[in-house]
Parts: sequence; C-alpha cells; structure tokens
Amino acid sequence: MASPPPGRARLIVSLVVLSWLLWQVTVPLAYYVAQDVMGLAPEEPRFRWRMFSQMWFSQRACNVSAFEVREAAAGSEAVRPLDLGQVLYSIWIEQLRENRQAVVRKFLQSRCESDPSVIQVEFMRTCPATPGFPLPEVSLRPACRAGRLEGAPLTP
Amino acid sequence: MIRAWDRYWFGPVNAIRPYLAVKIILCLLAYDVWTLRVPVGWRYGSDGFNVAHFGWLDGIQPVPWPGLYVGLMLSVGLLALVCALTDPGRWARALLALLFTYGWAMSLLDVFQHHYFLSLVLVLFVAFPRVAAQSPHRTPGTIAATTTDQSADPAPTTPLTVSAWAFVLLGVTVAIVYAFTVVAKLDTEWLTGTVLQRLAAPPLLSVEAWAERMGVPANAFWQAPAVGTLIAEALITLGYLLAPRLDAAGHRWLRIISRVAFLLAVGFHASAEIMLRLSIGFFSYYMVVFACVYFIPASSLLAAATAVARLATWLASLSSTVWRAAAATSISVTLIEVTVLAGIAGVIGFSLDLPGASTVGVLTAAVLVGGALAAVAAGRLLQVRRHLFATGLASLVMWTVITQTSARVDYYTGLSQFLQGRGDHAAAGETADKARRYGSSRLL
Repeated sequence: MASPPPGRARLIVSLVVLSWLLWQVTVPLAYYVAQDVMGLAPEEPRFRWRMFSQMWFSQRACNVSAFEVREAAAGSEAVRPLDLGQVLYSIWIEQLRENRQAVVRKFLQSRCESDPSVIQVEFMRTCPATPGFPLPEVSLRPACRAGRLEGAPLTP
Repeated sequence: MIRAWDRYWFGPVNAIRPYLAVKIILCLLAYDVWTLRVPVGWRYGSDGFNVAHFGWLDGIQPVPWPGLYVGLMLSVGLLALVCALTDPGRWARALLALLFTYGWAMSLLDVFQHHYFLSLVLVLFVAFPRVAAQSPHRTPGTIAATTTDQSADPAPTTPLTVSAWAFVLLGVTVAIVYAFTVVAKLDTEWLTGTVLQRLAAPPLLSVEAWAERMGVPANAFWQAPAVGTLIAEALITLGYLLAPRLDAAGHRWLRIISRVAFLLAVGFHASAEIMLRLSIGFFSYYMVVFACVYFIPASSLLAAATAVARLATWLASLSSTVWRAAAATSISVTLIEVTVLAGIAGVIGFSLDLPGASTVGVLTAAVLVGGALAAVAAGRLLQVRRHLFATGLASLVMWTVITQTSARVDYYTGLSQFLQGRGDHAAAGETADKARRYGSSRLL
C-alpha cells in the first residue's frame, strides 16, 4: 500500500487540506454573509455554486440600453443610441443584463476609446418588478476625456 | 482527534477509485473540449472586446483571439488524453490544470461554473497517487492497480489500497458543491416549486396535466420534487463526506448510504437532463462518473474495469510486439518511427483547418522529436517511448473527433452567423461554405 506521508510531510499535507477547505467554504459562503468581499459584486454568482437561482431568472428579463454623447459642431452635443447587438457579441449583452461590473466598466471604457469625439457614455438597465425579489435599476453616465473613462467607481 | 483526522484523510482507499477517476475524467475532458469548446472559439476577440475573469489577467494578457483559444483547447484535449493513456508525470497533470484553467479564466465568455469545478478537480489530480494498471502477467484477467509512487511498496504482491488524501479531498470538495446547491435552494421561490415549474420541459408539463386530472393540485406537484431535490442533494453531500471511509471501515450502514447516494446522484443528474431537459451535458457526465468511483463497491469497479483492461491489454500486446521488433533493430529505426508519428501529428494540425490547429500540430511534432532525442541522449528511450506513442495516438484521436463530430461545422456555422449579423456577407458566405463542406464529410 502507498503509505500515508510521514510526520513532517503529513503536517504539510494537513495544512494544505485545511487551507483548501477554508477556501472552498468561504468563497461561496461570502455570497450570503459578506457579499462585497473578495471583489465579487452582490449579484455575481461565479464560484458560488448558485445554479438556476431566482436572480438568474429575473436578470434574463432585464433590458439594457446605451447612449453616446458626442461633440457636435459649435460646441453643441449630439446623443446617439447604441445598437448593442452591433457592437457586442450576445454573451456580453447578457452579462450587461446581469450587471456584471467588470463587463460594464470595460464596455464603457471601450466606447470612450472608440472615438475621441465621445464625451459621455450612458448605460441603463431596467428590470421588471419581481415580487419579493427586486433587482436594482442601473443608470451610469461617466464622462470621457481624451478617449479615457473618467470619474468615480461605477456604481448604480 | 488527530487519529480520526489521519484515519479520514490518510486512510486506505481502494486504488481502483483514484485510478478510474483520473482515466475516465481525463478522457471525458478531452472529448468535452474538442466537441464543445473548440466550436465556440471564433467568439474570442470578436469586436475586439474581452473581459477576463480576473482583473490582473486583463492587465497582462492581450485580447484573446480564436487561434489562441482553439489551439489551447486542442492542446488541453491532447494533454488530457496523454495523461489518461500513459500518465507522464505530475508535471503533465499540473500543466494540464494550468492550461485548462487559463482556458476559462482568459474570458468571461466562458462562465460555466463546472469549468471552475474542473479546474479544482485537475489541481487535485496532480496530488493523486500515480496508479498504473499492473502488467497482465502478474495478475491475469484483472486490472489490479499498483502505485508508481516512490513511497509505495514495490513488491509484486502490491495490495490494492493506497493512501490518497487528494482523492478524499476531491470527494469533500464535491460534497461542498452539493451542500451549497442545497443552501442556494433554501428560498421561497424554490421551496414552493416556482423555479422548477419555470425550468420544466414539455414532457413534465404534460405529466403535470395528467397528475391534475388525477386530483393532484398543481402546487403540490411542483413542490414535492422541489423539496425532494433538496433532500436528495443533502443526502448526496453526506454520501461524499462518508465515501472515503467506505473501503477502510466497511460498515454495513456505510455501504447502504453509499448506494443510496449513488442512486440519488445518478437520478438527480439524469432527471435534470431528461425530465427538465436542461442540457447541462458534460457537467452531469462528470458528476455521474464521480458518483460511480466514490460510491460503487470497489469489487464492482474492478470487475467493470477488468473487461476494459482486457481489451487494452490485447491492444498493448499488439503494439508492444511491433515495438519490440522495431527496438530490436536499432535506435535509429525507433527514431524514424517517432519522426513518422511527428509528421502525422503535424499533418493533422494543418488538415484540421481550424485557427491555431497548425501551431498545435507543429508543437506536437516538436515534442515528439525533441522528446525522443532527449530520451536517447539520457538513455531513457525505453521508459519514454510509451508516452511518445500515446502522444501520437492522442493526435489521431483528436483528428477523428474533430473531423467526425459537428465540431468544425458548429465552429464555421457560428462564425458565419456572427459575420452575417455584422454585415460582412462575403466572409459569412465563405465560412458557411466551409460549414456545409465539413458537414457533408463527417460520419457522426
């Protein structure tokens, strides 16, 4: 029989086992007890073994839209709605519906970078009312300066 | 307390369990990535947009492109199959875990939770005991497993148990997954059956109509399986926590719990696929494999594996006859054979007509030739040859799977639809032609 590891190795293995278990329990548990730890947003189901949750269902019914404000002639501004289906692959749009923060931020950044005349980007998410399970509306209007996203962290 | 801890994590486990877990999961993984991940490789880098799973990764990697992703998935499948066939070493398993993890971590285009789960599995596989099928002349007609660990007893009469803390830890990890799926369902929506009702496929809805005619209220019809699922998952959790003691303790109650957990686990995943038609696919298959290796009595696993081993032994005897004839001639003949295999691997890479495939073909050829030359220089050709042949065989299997399933058709169909949506009709037409061509040439 392959022997159990000897004394010191057994101690190291035991520490590895304990660390692994701690990791495996705390990451999903954080969803319920401390949602904003480890950089994971409250609505973020990754690494937490939440399959087919109520939130997942509700988010699928959300609508997302985006607008760009561009500099027009003589200091005026022009607002242009974005056809999200033409600028993003559908999986990314689903993730905007889920309000996945990293995707929202990167999307807004990419719009700022797409054209120096873009001075502001607007992103909105609206969700139908769900009894006992309200999903927050999201409305972000960060400004762009020289092709870069400006402003504070993106929170609805 | 310490003794109980040691008994649980370092106690004896029948070697057939970790042996089969590694072999079957890695074979499944190869098929999984070749048939399900390669076909979506065109999405990577589309519109120049990407977000990695981790911010720091976005900071150091370029925007992934189809060639990178498809090449990576082809390589993951190849390496998984080589590890399943001949197990070159822990370094190969570690490399596999790294490549596979980077495969999903590079982009949020892949948010399947079971890919994260598989990364955990692959990391633990690195620490699994290196178990090899014993040569048939030692134990005719069985797949008696023996460990290749240095710490193992090298005697020919190796008992069939190993101390496998990583195997135990994997079982506990699976238990944690099931436990949190229970916790996630502890809300009103699930407990009242509302979620299940939304997920229900047409066959289940017709059963509901039939049950209603028989006097079963609709809310009870959905509530009962919803609560039943919770109880089943809780029992499966318990089963995985106790399973590591199955071989050592051998209590009757332990065997009963294992059998119940096995039936519940298989039933749970089968009903998700068949009754709810959730098309979870490979995640269900992986979990059914785990249910088999953790819960089925070792004697039954041995009996089932022996039948497969007989076939493998016969195939191995054929190849070893050919090999011995070649090896007896000279090392140069052997090198020529490896070079031919390398040539085949290279041609396969170019013939697949997928981005990144030619690079994988060239790399595989280089690994074969380089590995053979290095083995000759170190005087270890005899030990390394089976890994080289396994690499060549894995290339052939990859070619068969990619060309004879819908992998390429799905790749080019998806790409064509995307290009059509972006108004690039000429390129869309070309890729649609490829999809049609590959669709007509496949058998499966």
